[in-house]
Amino acid sequence: MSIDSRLSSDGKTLTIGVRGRFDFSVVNEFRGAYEAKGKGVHYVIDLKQAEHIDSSALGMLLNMRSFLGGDEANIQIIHCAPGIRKILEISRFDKKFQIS
Amino acid sequence: MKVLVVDDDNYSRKLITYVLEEAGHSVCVAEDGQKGVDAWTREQPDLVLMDLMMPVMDGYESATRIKEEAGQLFVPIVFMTAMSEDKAMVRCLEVGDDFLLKPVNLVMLQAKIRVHERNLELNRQVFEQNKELAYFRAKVSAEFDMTQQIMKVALQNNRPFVDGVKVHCSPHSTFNGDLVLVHEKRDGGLYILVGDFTGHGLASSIGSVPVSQAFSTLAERNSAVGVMAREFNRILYRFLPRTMFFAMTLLELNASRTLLEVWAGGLPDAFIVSPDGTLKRRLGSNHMPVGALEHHEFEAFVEKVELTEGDKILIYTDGVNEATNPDGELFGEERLLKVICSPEPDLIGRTLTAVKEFMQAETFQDDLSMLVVHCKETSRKVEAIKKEAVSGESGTAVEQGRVAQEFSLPAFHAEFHWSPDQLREPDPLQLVRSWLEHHVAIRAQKEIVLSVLSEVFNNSLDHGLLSMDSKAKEGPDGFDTYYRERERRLKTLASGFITLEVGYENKHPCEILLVVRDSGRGFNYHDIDLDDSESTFGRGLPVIKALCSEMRFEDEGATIRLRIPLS
Repeated sequence: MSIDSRLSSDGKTLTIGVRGRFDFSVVNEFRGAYEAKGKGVHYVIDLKQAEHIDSSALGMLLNMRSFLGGDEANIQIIHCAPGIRKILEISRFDKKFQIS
Repeated sequence: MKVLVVDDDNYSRKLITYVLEEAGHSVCVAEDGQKGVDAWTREQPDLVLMDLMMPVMDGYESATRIKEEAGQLFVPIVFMTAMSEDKAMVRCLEVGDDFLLKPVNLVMLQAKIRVHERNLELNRQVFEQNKELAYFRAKVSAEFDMTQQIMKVALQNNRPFVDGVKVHCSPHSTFNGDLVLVHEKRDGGLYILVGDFTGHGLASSIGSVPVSQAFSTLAERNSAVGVMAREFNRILYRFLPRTMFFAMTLLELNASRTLLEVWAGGLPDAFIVSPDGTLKRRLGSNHMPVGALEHHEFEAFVEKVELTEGDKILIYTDGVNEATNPDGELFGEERLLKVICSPEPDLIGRTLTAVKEFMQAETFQDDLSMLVVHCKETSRKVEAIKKEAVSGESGTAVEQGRVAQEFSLPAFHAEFHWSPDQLREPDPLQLVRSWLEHHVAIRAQKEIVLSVLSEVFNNSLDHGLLSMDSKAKEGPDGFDTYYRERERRLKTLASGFITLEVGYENKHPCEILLVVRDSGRGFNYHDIDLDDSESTFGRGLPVIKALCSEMRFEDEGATIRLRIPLS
């Protein structure tokens, strides 16, 4: 399993962890993780175990954002390695997601 | 049972012989004390009936000699005597094992013989068991010696003398369940491992063999701390029984001791102490111990910590904080912090003294290990690197160190080739990736290098070979449709190839060259706005352009040539 999602004990935060390659190979797993829960929860994408990321992952994140209502979506991306953070920043993802 | 009857009275000898033979025993006789000793030596009977008053040698003397000759072998001696005063009877029991009053009561004689037969049986059993035990003990001891020798060789050279690193290990038994390994990298950087297997003694120290072997191999390969931890976990999960784990703190320090990467699982918090004696930071355990999780559950993330000159890092095993005093109190972290938070030198020595004073004992109750790294630049290697780096670009010590390190690496140029069958593999880039991410020059930038590689490779595959159109990704189910179609086309792909050239030259500034070429028709790259990263697709190329110092298309777009800066 390269995607693992965990709901916090109060049911308000869903953390989706990505392991290894964050690219199209996880497209269905990733989509399944947020579609099952839908709007109304706070999403945290944990990239501490992601080794690299490509544009299909960026597309997947944008798809997730629009599925969850665009600007209303509440998505935070955490534990980015410096290189991955740089890619997110170059793509201006810092404007659409909270990156920390 | 074989019984020796020693009596100078002919009648008495004959009577007793008759009675004993009737009861099924075999009997030999002697008529005085001296002959009794001789008969014992010759016949080796199980029991001796001994008259007290005899010519030549009396019963006491004869019995004493027989006991001497028998040594460890138990031979019950029953005296037969007419003297009934206490003193004589006490002496009988001192020299021999029992007595019968004369004239001998035959019923009593038979009863006593039966008692001694039982005792003898028990005694012989104990004797046999003792012999077995002694043999077993000798065998175990020989095996311990052998094992110790094997362990010594296996763990040899795993703790070289390194300037600024001090280690103390006191195993609780011959074999240490704690493991401390140090590896000095060619550039002066360090790998440090401090670990503790569940329990102590032989069983828990045996796991240190595969760990230390893997440690050496991976350290030679310059592996990242997370990669090493993952490998140890894979080995130990297979190797250890489910009730046994390995608590470990694994560090990598750069040559100038200004940066550390740490993976910590299960050991007590390590500490970084500033030169003025204040606690600067804890390196807390944020993983399960090694060997506890299956490979796919294992988490390899690491923490990166900046250090300053004069900082000291202390890593220790629970033999320190769990040392107990006679009242059953634990030494604990608080007491430890009081000792180590001080500008005084000799952290290890002071801690050991404090723990022993607390325990009111000189020896420890568990395996106990401590390691201190003093972050100072005194190593000759670092000096050499600094000198070498003066000729390079100016910058911080870290950068200078890195420049020097890279100048000493060989340049390489490699080409990889994928045909449709290899492209159908679930992860065609796996091999290239695992090679690149270990390379010294690339490691620090591996996320960028691997991301760019994945991006351009998939562009070649999707658009060059499979003629996919990114516009298909639009709409809510766009991704799904796109990747399903891609899978279908890949399955039936009959011809075509992708090649990848990877190059590295050891000059400044350090760069890695990637050239990806496919057998497709190329594309009209002039129409793409490479500075627009906002559109829903075609996002990849602007990102690549921003990450690379050079990006060029050739062969009408079928080849992309990139340079990625590494520092």
